[in-house]
Amino acid sequence: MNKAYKAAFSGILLALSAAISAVETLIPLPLGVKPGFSNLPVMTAISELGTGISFSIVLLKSLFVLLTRGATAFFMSLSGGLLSFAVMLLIFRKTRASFLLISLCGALAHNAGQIIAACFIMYNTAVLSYLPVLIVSGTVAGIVTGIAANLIIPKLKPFLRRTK
Amino acid sequence: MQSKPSIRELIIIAAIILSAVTVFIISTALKSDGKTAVISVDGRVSAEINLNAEDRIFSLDSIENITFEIKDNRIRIISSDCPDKICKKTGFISDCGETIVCMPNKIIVEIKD
Repeated sequence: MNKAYKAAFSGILLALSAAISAVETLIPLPLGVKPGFSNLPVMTAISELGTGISFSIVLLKSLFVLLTRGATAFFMSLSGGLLSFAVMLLIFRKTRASFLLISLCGALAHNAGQIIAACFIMYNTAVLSYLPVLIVSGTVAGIVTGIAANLIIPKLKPFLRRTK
Repeated sequence: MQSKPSIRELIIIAAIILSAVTVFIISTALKSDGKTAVISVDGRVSAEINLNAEDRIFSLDSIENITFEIKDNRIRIISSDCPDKICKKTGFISDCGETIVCMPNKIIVEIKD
């Protein structure tokens, strides 16, 4: 992948992940639960573009949330994003697991990160009562996104490798 | 990195699903009706409301931008000035330990016994 192509592809992934997360806020699920498809571009970046670029995508995506949805949503997005990025990168580097496990653990880590942030922001541990809902929804969302990733990302690979 | 999940991976995933189901079953089994709603702002309790009182719609002096409703011993937020309206989407709560959270306004409604 040449430099210009890599830059363009990173930009596309960032735009995709920001757009998907913006669209997902419109879906009327209870308790602000989201399907988490914006993790697809992040996983693509982890697998194809390396640590540095995928980390920037996670940070810039949170910055997009700051601009569109305010400071509270920004801290929630950042803590969830960073924890899930760390977990996904670790599994990707250290094991031979497919995107199914990476996505599932990423989704659970994302929800864990958000609830930790919520505890600090609200200064109240009552938010921990959301934990069962977040564990169940995170598992479902992580598996759905993981299946999608297993279908999409391998199909993307030959296309990316061809453009040397 | 493989594109197809291995048997070992599927076993780990099955274990995670099983624990999620267990968490869900335990949390639904432990439900019991609560009698008071504790409304706190920024970590400090600002009102305790009896849910068995008559149905009404009200606001608190300290939090004018949010309207609460009590109906059939349940409580919900019916309007708020926050951007994402997650508190409103939560709907009615009535079981012990259930909460409505409004992150931007730092408000928590928690049901207690």
